[in-house]
Amino acid sequence: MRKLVKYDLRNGWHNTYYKIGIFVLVIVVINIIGVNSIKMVIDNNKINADILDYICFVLGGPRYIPEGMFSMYVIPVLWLLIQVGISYTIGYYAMNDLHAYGQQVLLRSSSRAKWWISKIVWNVTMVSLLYVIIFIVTIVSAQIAGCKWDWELTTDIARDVCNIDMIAGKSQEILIVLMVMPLLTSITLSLIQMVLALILSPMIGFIVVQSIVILSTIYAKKWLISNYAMLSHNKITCASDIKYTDGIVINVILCLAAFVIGLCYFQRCDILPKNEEV
Amino acid sequence: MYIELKDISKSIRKTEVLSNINLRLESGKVYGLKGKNGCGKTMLMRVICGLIKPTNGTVDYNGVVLWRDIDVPKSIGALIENPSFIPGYTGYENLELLSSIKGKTSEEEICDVMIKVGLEPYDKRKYRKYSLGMKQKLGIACAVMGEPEVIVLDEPINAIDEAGVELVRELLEELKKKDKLIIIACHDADEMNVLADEVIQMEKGHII
Amino acid sequence: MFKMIKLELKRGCTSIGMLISLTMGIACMLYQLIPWINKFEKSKKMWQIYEEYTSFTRGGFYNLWFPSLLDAASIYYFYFVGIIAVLPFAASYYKDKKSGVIKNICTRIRKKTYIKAKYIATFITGGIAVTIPLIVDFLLVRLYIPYDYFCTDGTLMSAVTSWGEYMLDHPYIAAVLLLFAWFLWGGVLACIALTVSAFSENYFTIQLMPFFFMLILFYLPGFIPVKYSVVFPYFFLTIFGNSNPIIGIVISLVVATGLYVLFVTREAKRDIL
Repeated sequence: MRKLVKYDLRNGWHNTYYKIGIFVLVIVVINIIGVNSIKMVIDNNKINADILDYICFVLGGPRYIPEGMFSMYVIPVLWLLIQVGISYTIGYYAMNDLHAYGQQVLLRSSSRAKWWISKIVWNVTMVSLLYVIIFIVTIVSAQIAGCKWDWELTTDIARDVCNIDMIAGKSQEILIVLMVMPLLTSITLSLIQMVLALILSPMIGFIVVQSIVILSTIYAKKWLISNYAMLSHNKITCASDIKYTDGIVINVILCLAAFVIGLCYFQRCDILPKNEEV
Repeated sequence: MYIELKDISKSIRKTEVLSNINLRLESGKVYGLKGKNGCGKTMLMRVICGLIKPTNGTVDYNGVVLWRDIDVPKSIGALIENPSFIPGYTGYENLELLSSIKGKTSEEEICDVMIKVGLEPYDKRKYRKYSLGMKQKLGIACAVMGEPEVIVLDEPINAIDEAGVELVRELLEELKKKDKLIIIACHDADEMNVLADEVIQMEKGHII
Repeated sequence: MFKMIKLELKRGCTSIGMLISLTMGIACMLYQLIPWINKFEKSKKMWQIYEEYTSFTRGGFYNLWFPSLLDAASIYYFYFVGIIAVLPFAASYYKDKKSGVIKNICTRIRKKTYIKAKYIATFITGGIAVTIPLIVDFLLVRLYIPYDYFCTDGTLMSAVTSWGEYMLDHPYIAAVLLLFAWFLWGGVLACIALTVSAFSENYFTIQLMPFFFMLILFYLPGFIPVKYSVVFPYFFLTIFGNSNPIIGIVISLVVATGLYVLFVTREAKRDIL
């Protein structure tokens, strides 16, 4: 099992290192934009920004749109770039591996379950790596910009730059929603994408996951799980009923469901040469 | 070691590709699958390898039933249809990567098996630059690397030169002496007569 | 050449990708339209209550048609237009090369003829995939809204701009021009993927490049003065204050020509390996 995981990490890296490089560049650009935006607020209001403000700019999510006020909506490109980047990095590896070289891997793994578990481990590792990159780049940018380390959101910056009008939660809650929930939600979405890629096609998996993401930016509904990744859509910052506790439960259930569905399907499916129709 | 196929049938989208196959294959022999194009040879090989699940019937590996007790045969090497490797790696790197999964094959063994099929282990060319014959040889090397108990080769001598064919013959003889169970499919009747101890004739998914 | 274009068009229009693209587009359209039609039927009975009626039909036809970007369905459609255009046929060149079909074709006709036919067919199928849901939406909305007028909401067009004035005077011609701009832009997106397939061997990258391209184009208008933002699809494909589909048509034709030259020049010279 360990050797299979090692193979996947090694082969996965070989297949995705350039995508990770592009992702790093994108995060750097997002952080440059963030630092400049926050700097304007700092200069206008004569305040200091906190490290959490910079993280909130990158991961906080788009503005909450109340029902019936759609004219306020703006496509949150920077936040979407991160979600799309994660989907793109994960997207094709597992299925590409299975229908070509991966057959040899499967014969050597001596168990389909082990092959699937190895892919799950690769998936989770890759998403976690991307988030580590996000945090490192953001923290370095914030440090260069001269932030303070109180781990508290600054009201003016949150309102003017991060699309958050009120902060009604405790510090620990904000930290969980801002730093843990995006990672957990991204892991869930990437597992869902991998299962759909296995059963249907990688493109369908990508479309479904990105549909959830874009609809979550419009509607603050509990069943659109990307909402749990956004501090700006959480109950502690707006008039929605998105709670992080519900998010943790739903994400864990969906992760397990994705694992089980993928395992059940994979243990029964025929591995035949696949013509990529879509 | 033996493989026993009992009442194996397989339908794909309402087309029956295999029908009531009953076979017992023993180790220390080379079995040749013979038949027209589309008669089900490759499908049968896929069933044996565990890549596809039969609609009916069982595949028994020494008392262990595939799809019931195990998902994938414990010790098998296969070359089915076109060989597929990572284009950006050399032949040796590709084999090294695969052997690292089970961790049983040493560097010397990989080099040895590549030489036996007529490939240069330290050739710096990437797989994408290989000729068709070289790709085929690498596929054979991959299948026999680590000396698995069961070796399945679909059209192994396709695109291989005369010298290469001779090397493949010697390799299969050597493996047969080591009590391996070898299944090959081949269109060349003369070659089949030389290589195979027992020829299994197939037609429209049946064994005749 | 014409025969080759016909063959490629047939392949593109009967592909599963075209089915998925049209399903996505029409599903979006129905999601927007059906609740609205329900509301409209209910409020028809209350048409005498002037305020309720006018607030319900605020903006008339052009608020409801997809390019208005005033509801979730049209935002969703706009977000995914890069994928909708690409799914039918854009990756066909990559698939032909990978499967070896290109060898069979290029032993029967000149390679340059095949490449040109491929480009034209990809352009047309991309345009069709993107435009058909808009045409269906146009016709269905027209069944219910018997008049065309613009509300005074500042987000929509008014007679202040020359295009806005033209739209008020000739709404049908304006709608046709807007549809044509969408058709051309859909074709451009599909051809971006086709051109990328000449440089990349990653199927996922080829399919997603137009999607990334659109995502970047959503963001860039924020960095340039408003009067120049008309060169971005967010403006020339929609019905906003300074929108103008004529600019969209010109930009699409220029980009399409550039991609054509790049793709044909590069691929005609390359060996088929």
